[in-house]
This record gives sequence, C-alpha cells and structure tokens, in this order.
Amino acid sequence: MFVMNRLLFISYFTLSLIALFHGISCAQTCSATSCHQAIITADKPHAPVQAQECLSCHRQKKPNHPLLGDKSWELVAKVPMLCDQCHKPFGSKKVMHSPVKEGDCLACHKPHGGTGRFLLGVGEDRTELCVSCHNPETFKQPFMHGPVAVGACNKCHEPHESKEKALLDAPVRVVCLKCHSDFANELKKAKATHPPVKEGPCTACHNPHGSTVSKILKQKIPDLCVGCHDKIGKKLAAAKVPHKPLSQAGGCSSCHSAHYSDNKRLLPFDEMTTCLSCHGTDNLGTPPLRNIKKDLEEKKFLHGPIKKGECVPCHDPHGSDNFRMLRGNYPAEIYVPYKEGIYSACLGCHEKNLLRFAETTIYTKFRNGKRNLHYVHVVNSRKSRSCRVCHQAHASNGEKLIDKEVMKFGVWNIPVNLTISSSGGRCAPGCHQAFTYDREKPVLYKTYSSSRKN
Amino acid sequence: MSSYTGTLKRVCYASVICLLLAGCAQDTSCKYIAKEPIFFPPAPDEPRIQYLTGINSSDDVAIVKKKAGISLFVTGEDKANTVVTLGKAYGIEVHKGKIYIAQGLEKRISIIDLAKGTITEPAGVTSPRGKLAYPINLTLDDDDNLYVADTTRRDIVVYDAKGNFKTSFGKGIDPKSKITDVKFYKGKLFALDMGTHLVRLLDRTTGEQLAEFGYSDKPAQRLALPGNFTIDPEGNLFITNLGSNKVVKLDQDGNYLDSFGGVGDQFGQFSKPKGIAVDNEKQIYVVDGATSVVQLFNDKFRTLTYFGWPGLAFGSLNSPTGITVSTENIDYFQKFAAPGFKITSLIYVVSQFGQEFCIPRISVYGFGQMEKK
Repeated sequence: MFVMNRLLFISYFTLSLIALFHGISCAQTCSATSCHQAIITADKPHAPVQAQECLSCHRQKKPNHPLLGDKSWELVAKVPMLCDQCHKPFGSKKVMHSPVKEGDCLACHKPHGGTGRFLLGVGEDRTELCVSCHNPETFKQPFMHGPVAVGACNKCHEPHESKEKALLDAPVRVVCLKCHSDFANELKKAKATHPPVKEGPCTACHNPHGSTVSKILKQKIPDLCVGCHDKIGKKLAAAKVPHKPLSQAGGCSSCHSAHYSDNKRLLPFDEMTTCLSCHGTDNLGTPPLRNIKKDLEEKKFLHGPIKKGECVPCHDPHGSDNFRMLRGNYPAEIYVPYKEGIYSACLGCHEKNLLRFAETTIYTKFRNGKRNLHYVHVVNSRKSRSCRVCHQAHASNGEKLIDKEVMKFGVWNIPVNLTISSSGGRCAPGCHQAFTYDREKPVLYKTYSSSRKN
Repeated sequence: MSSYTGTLKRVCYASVICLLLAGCAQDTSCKYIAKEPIFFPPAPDEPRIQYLTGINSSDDVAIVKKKAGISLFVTGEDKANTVVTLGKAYGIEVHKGKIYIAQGLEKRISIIDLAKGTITEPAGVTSPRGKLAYPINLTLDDDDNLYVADTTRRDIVVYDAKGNFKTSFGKGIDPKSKITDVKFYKGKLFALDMGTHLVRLLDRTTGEQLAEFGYSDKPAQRLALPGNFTIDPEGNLFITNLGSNKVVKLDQDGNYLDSFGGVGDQFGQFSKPKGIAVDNEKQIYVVDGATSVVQLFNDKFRTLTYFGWPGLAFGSLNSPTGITVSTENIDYFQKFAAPGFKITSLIYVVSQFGQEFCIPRISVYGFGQMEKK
C-alpha cells in the first residue's frame, strides 16, 4: 500500500513537471513559431513582449494549444487590474478620460506593441486615434489650432486623468501661454489689457481646436464682441449711419486691439492718430471723405475736442443716426427750416440757450446790442443757415473757427471776411453787404426791425 | 417784644421758604439743541439734513466764560450785554460769516456775529433817514453795503460797510410798486416788485432803473405776486410767486427759462411759497409758509426731500419765511452735528411764529451726509 502511494505521488509529480516545462517550453516557442510574429515584431513592443515574458500577462488554462473552438490561454487578470500589476493605477485626479474610467486601457493602447510611443497604434499624429471617439468635425475646420492640425492632442491634454476640466494638463491660460510665451511677455508690459485677456481663459473668445472663423475665434467679429458689449451691439444693429470698418473684414479689430494696447480703449495708437490712419488720406470712400489730416495741418485754431486729441466727443465711432455719425442732430444741408433740436450736435457742448431768445446779453457775444445775431441767422422757419455756413467744424486759421472762406456754395467758396473787435465785429460775407455789430453801442441798420419775429 | 420776635421769626421762615421754592422752580427757558439727532429724511433713509440748533436771542450765540465760578455772557470787551431777542422776522442772509436778519415789526436789522457772540444793528437805523419802517428782505454787495427792502417805506434803504445810512431809492418807480426782495449779483442789483409783478434791475449807486422784466404774453411764464427770489451761481433768477404758487426761473435778461410747482400740499406743490435758496450743487430750497416745510429739489426740479414739518421735538418750523444756504460758519456749527455727520453747507430758515412752543426765530440745519466707513 505504501509503495502504491509512493508510485502515485511520483507519477503526479512527474506529470506536473512535464506540464510546467511544457508551458515554459510553449511560451518560449510563442515567438519561435510563425503564429505570433506580428506581436513580437511591433515597432514599439510592450516591455514584457520584448523580454518574451508572455507569462507576465497570460497563463495556459488548457494543455493543448492551439485549441480548436476554445481558448487554451487566458489573461492572468482582467484589464485594468492586469495593467496595474506594472503600471500605477489611475483614479487620484478629479477628471478622468472615459476609457480610463471604464478601465478600458485597450481602447487606446496596443497591449503587445504599437506603431508609436506609449503602445499607441498611431504615430505622433494622434488624430486617427482620438477621432475614433471624438467628433471628427472638430478637426476639419478651415482654421485649425497648430497642435490640433498635426494631431498633437497631448500638447494640451492629459490622456488619462487631470485636475483640470477637459483633461487639460494645467489651467486654460497656463496651457495657452506656455506656448504663446511671447504673447505672455508682451501682455505683462501692456498698459491696457482687455479684461477677458487679463483674467479670463483664452477660450472665452477662441476655439482651442478649430473654427470657421479666422484666428480660431468662436464667432465672427463683431458678433463675438457684442456678446459682451451688448449696448454697442444694439447700436450697431440700429445705426442709420454706420461706421464702415465695422462691417468690413477686420470689424472691431479695425480700430481696437483684442488683447492689449498702450492706449486707452485698446486703440493701437492715441485716438486722433487712430482715426487719421484712415481719415487722413485723399481717397477714403466713394466719393472720398475729407482728408481731415489736411484740414488740421498748420491751422491756428482747433475745435475744443480736437485740441485735446479727441474725435469721439462729437462723432460716435460705432455709428449713429446722425449725419457723419455725430452724436446729435446736424443737418447735412446748409439751409433747413429751423426747429428746436436740429443743432443738438453743437449745442450739446455750446450754450444751450444760444438760439432760444431773439434778444440776450448773456448767451452770445455775436450780438448787436441785445439783438442775438445767431438767432437772426439760424432761427428761420424757412431758411435756417447751418452752423457750417460760417464755422469750420474742425480747425481754422480764423477766430471762432471762421476762415476767410468757409463754405463751398456750388463751385464758389463763399468768403466770410469776419473781423472781431473788442465789443463786436464786422462781417462782409458773400451772402450780404458788410455789417458791423457792437454789443455796447448797437449799430442801427436801416433794415433792422425791433420786432422779435423772424 | 415777644410779638416782634415772633414776627421776625415768621419773616425769616417765609424768606427761607421762598428762596427754597425759587431754587426748586423749573427752568422754563427754551433749549434749541436736540438731545438725539433729528435727521431728514428720517430713518431708515440715509440722513442728508440734520437740525443743528436754533437762534432766538443773543443768549444762543453768546460766548460763555466762567469767572470766579460764575458764568458771564461776555463780549469782546468782557462785559455783560443786554440780551437781544429776535423779533418777528422775515428775510435772512449770511455775508462774510455774519448772519443778517430782517425783523419787520421791530423795524430793525439784526447782525449776528458768531465769532464775537453778539447781536447788533447797523448804526444807521437810528438816523432819521435810515430809520426803517418794515424791513422784509435784504442783501449785501461786494463792498459790504447793505440793501434793505422796506415794504412800508416802499423803497430800498442802503447802509454802508460800517452800518451808516448811505442812501435810499426805489420810491416812486411806479405807483403800484412794492419792493419785497433785493439781491445783488456780480455788480448788479435786482429788486423784486410784488406790486407790479416785475423784476427791476437798478443801478446800485443811484437807484436808477436799468431794466425791468417779468411780464410775458404767456400767462404761465409771467410773474404773479412774486414775493421772494434768489440768484443761482450761474446768474439765473428763481422767483416764488404767491399768485401762481409756482417757482419761475428767468435769466438775467428776463427771458423765461422754466418753472415748476403749482397749488397743493403734495411733493412739488406749494400752498404759500415764500423764501427760496439755491446751493452750490444747484439744489433748490423752497419754503412753504402754509405747510411749514422746506422742500428740496434738484436742478431738474425733482423733489429730493423735505424738512421742518410741525410736531417734531426739535427742528420744526412755524410759518417759515426767509431762507439762505451758506458754506460759511460750518466749523462753528459742526459741533452740533451727530458724530460722523459731515456738514457741507448750512441752511438757515426763519420762523415767524412759534416761539412760545420753543421754535426759534432762526433754525439752523446742516446739509451733508454720514461719513462712509
């Protein structure tokens, strides 16, 4: 009996050894045969494969291999526990890539080896791999972000897990500025920064992958801008006299820098220089607008705002309902029937009661005694003379913005010939005979009526 | 002997009792300083005006010094003055720190000097030609000449900087003329004539009329029983009209600029508009003599608040008339303000009646706000 047991033990022991060495022998022969050549000849093999340690991951469960209709080998553990044997498990960060969360390492990685690094089945251009799950349209936009165009998704995104949303490897601004470092340097030096650029993520305006809009903006300009600047948006939509650059290719960026500037309101230059960069030529528009730069050159007297280098006190750069985008009414014609408010563009700054009373000692120095000569010229129910009949809007060589010749009347530049004295003056314009006026000793005109009617 | 002694004893006892009773008698004089701050508007709104104190007599402004344990009301000459109590008053002005108040029934102008703690009169009021009959309103020019509108004399009496009578004019301008107010502005003397519903521009030296205005073809734009007026820093005239219960705004040429008000007792309405003042922020103060309040408006004539209504522990008005707003003397009155309430201007309002209810002739309010923490 004792001998029988000993014989049985020896038999079992021998058979186990045979099975073990058979397995080892088989393992050693996985790569020696032609069956698994593709695995071992991958461009970038998995380390255990390279070391021919198939048993790290696989174990034989049935003696015969190959086995028709069944598997004779199995994984020593399920993925991802299998992978965790060597690789540090994930799950310590807030945001996980879905396949990682589901433990599906093989969604991206080739377990035996890949054509690219990290056991991926793609090279450095990972587009094909990523669009196998992600929307491919993102990667087919007319304007693409550089890394996206070359499939370098990993330049911005962590493939497994991250503390940041969208698996970014850092906060949005940090991710952007680590490449756009030249921009970051300039931003630090800028005197004025667009608030979203100063504090917010770049993705407030830019699509980080691609867009149908140049500069990978989320929307075209001005739609993008008026998303925040809604009041300007309403004005743009409603303005009867729009500012043309806003409807052209550059839109808002025709005048404003989107990111930073050394000037107020993110203008590229000071206000006057910015405006004159367009309005300082002879061929702007059809028919051409006035060359304002020429109008101002070497002139002795400048209109108040212009002296300060400002155009916007009078003109709304975003458009308005008024002639020449003025902020108030100002007739385009030289003669209009007068009614209250038609010169609000001027009287917004100048004496509001200038045209209110036929007689005054207060509201104007252009008077003969108390007779208000502005009222005489302008407040006419049939033929009000616009301010521009006498006054230049921007600059002049004469006092009170009145030049020797001011208004173009058809082919004739009408002379004004104003001379000013200490208590009055004299006008000898092309409109009427010469008249003198005196505030202190009013001149008696033959045609003057003491009536207050027009 | 015993009866004499007994009588003497009785007299002594009675004297002691009388003295004791006198010592126990209650002090019935008015106090014009509130123990708790009186703010307008009241809580929970943010306070902008505080009632500070009142001036009814020289006791209220005297500088009190203690000498040998006894309080003395002293002047600069360090002797006690007769107490001067203000009479039924109307117009009030502040000029170079001094408060000038016209008292018709007393036929006098009182000059309150806070720095010296005195109330005096111009010396010229005692002169035959300078004697007043019923002074109602007054103004001072840049040479410190005092112009007083007197409705009984029906002229304007002028005193020089030293208080001596200088001249008078305005009588006989018009048979119906009744000058009720005068104002000086940048070299020009304006007189308000209630009798003819006009403003008259007079030469301040000769009294010659240079211009008159106030009439309009449009009834809504003309003056109607104009009683008081003021001139704002821009030179515009604000005139209260008893006939229309409106405030009419004219420029110095007499052109109608705007108006507001109307009869009633609601915000923006008046029952008896009297004195009017405009401060440096163009806020308009209008006294209503019937409802005994002062309404405050902004330069667009929007009602901001009101103050002085009857029934308050302190700060009520009674048939108020004159008003003036000044940035002088703030340091003097700041001590009456609640902690943290910073005064930017002072409002002086005259009450014609109510002294028996301890309403002072002049109520002083501070316009300002609580300091931001």
